[in-house]
Amino acid sequence: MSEFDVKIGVEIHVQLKTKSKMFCSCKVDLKSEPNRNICPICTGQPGTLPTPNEKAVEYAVIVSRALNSKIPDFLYFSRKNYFYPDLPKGYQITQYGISTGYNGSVPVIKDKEVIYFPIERVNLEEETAKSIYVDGKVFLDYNRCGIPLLEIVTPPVFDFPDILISFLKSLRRTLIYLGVSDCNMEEGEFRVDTNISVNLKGATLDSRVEIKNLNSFSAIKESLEYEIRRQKEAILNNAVVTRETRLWDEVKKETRAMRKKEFVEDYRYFPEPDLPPFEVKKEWLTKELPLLPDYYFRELIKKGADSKEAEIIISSPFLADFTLKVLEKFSFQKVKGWILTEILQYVDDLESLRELPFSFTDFILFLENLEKGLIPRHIGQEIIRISMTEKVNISDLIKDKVEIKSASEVDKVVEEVIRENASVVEKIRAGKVSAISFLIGQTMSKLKGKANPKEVKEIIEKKLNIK
Amino acid sequence: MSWVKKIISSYKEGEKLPSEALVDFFKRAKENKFNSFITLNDRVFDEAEILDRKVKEGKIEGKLFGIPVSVKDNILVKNLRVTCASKILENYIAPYDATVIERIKKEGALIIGKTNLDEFAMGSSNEYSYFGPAYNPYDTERVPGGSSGGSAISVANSEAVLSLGSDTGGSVRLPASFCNVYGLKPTYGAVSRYGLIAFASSLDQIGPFSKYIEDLEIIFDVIKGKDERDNTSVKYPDLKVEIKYPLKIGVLKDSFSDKVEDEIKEKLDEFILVLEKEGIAKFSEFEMESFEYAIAVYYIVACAEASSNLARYDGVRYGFKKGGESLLSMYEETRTLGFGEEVKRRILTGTFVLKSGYYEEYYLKAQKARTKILKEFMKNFEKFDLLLSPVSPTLPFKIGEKINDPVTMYLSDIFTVPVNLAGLPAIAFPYSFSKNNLPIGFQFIGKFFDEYLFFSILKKIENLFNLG
Ligand SMILES: [Zn+2]
Repeated sequence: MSEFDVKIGVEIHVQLKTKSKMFCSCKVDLKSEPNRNICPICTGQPGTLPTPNEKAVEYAVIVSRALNSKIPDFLYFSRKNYFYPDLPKGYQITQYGISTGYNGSVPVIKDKEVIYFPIERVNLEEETAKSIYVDGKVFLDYNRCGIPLLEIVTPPVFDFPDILISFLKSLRRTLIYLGVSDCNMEEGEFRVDTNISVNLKGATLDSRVEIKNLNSFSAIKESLEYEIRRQKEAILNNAVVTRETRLWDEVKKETRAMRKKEFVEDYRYFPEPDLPPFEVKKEWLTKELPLLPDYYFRELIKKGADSKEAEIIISSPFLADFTLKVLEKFSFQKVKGWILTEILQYVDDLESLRELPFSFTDFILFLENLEKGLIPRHIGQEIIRISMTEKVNISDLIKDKVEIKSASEVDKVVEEVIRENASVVEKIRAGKVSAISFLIGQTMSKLKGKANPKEVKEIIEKKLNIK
Repeated sequence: MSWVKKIISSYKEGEKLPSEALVDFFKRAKENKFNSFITLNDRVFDEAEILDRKVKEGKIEGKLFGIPVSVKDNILVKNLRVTCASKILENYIAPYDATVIERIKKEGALIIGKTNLDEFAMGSSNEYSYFGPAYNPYDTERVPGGSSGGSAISVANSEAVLSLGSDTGGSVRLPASFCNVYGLKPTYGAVSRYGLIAFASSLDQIGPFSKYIEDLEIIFDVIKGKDERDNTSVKYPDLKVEIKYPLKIGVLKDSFSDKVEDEIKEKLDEFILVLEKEGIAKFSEFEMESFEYAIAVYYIVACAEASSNLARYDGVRYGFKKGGESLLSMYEETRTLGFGEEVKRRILTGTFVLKSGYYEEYYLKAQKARTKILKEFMKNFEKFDLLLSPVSPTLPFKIGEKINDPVTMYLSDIFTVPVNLAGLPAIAFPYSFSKNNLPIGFQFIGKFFDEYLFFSILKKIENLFNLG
């Protein structure tokens, strides 16, 4: 049995959700008709000049901070020169030499622990146009062209696809928590290219293969597993693993080599002469960051959640925040069933959960009523079901389903029960206090359960002068 | 004297209407005797009529009210085609106004047309134009200088009162000098480049031409100043120019080297003597160690930036397009047939110096040399108020004389390029004529934002010599 070294690295491209594009004031909106959000600047008309979007720079700095990166005092842009129809200027304005953030890390939750994986750099750049292929023709939609893009690069430090997936999920979650991107993978807002080299243990040969076209976690995992297998077999058969870019075929479940370039692309980077170097604003560095997933994770664990439960809850920044607020008033044990089972069974896409049909205060009221016994458990479940499926506010349902009797009504019924059960009252007065539960039961049944048994008990005790 | 003020006062006095004043200018522009125009503005008379009405209403407002201005054809004027004198942009209609155009239009300027240039402003003779060479009005067998040849001619031949050109390595000053007019290369960042088709972004600067120094000041007042759309533009400082005569002026030692034609040296000597005698200035020579490297440094930086700036002309979105059986063939054919030889030479040079492995050796080194050149200039400004040199080492040369020898052609800019590399302002002014009646001009080089110092001293000199 030969032993292998597997080294995987990733390059991630994240579309930032700023209002306008990176270097012009066109709207960022990919749902518009093609070529609606364009101007002379983002279509590369002669004579135009770029003006950086400050919000995008701020986002890049905030992401760098959240990823524990070093941030230089001054930043500048560079040009990456190459020809492609989706690149209107013939160069992409990007960062080269100096990045917004470098030597950062991403905390990855593994069991109850948090492990840090390194980030090499965070670069801010501009998105290209979208190519649309119809009947062998290429059409270009420049709505996408010039959208701010973050390029996040890791060194090749991952040795298993699984750990890489955990890393990517953590990173993606962090970006969502920061509010800088929705990171919708299908929409291309969070794109991953992997690079992988498999070598016999001890060998230093670098046969890096890049895999592109990965738009889901399963594609990333399956393509890497396929590649590891393919490269191991090749090595065992003494075949050469070519340094190349391969595409993942989702249907055939295999990678295949992209058409080979006859030459190595030389991007002829040089500092962008249209944009002088600029200072990183202090406010970007000092502004308080939103709370990040690992904070919520730790808090949930502290409150008694296990790591699996905590991980489910933090998949949605909304739910994490909601849950922590609830946990200020109730113990995790008391609410976990309601949140994790009762509510979440009606949520299809937890990651994009941004609201519930009821407010935090309504939910607290609901839990209080449950605790008081005013809402029987099965009614509670019914309330959540209706609320979640029909998007009805929980407090309306409580009123509907649980009509709480007023104290005077309870009073009246208690007196009735006392009158009707003189013999039981006698026994209680004689010292058999436990018989009081019979009176409570009678009262509750007369009230059809719509009262708080604790209150009923108190009223009976008062009437009978017990205690 | 100011031609601009004279014209505006003729409107105020009711002697003429803008559309009437325009007639003669337009006639000469249309005649295009020296091939100075590529495109005329067919709508300029409609625009003039709007001003006519304003005159009749007594609303004569704007520093350039009813003044015919020509614009180099690498600056965008909305709805007019902008060719850069290149086949690749032969039919490209400008979708917006350059910032300088917005500014002069706001002051009432009448844009008469777009002037000839070397393709993409790359050249010193205006011979590299897809629309044919322009001719020197003083001798049509000779070049008008480049690259803004058409702009200089249009002013010299009264086809326009003022013109806007661009100066990357001398492209305003050289033709100004060859055509006997004033030409200003402003401090880098003083004038917005938005809407100027880029040749070399870190060197390009829009500059005006005029027959009289006062008019140059009037148009500079209008076009200067920070523009939010150009991040390299700066707020022009509010400086009060207080000049103590005699000024201390340094004369570049190389002005008298054997590379400079004798007639130019003789006139320079004469100029210096008169100014000293009149108490306007005191002169002494200065040397610049980096002077001899300036041309090499310039061609590395300018070509590198050009190779990137011109990448957008690929046939995909606009402009000339050819081929297309494959993506590569479209790029190759479009760019091979769309660009002229000199442009391709510079794109290739620029691509080479940016190649990985060569970048440090060429581009980075050139950038370091730029810093050194600026430092040397600034050191001299500790001793001098202004620096003086010829604009060109030669008199206007014959058409075809240098076209097959690019290196000799490049040397025409030996006195002008160091200024662009340093980002300093410089002004070419007409002084005299050779025995063959060819114009001889000189240039002042100033510290950053010394434009108003130029205007002051040159008003004095203009009066003294009756120039312009
Ligand atoms: Zn745009």
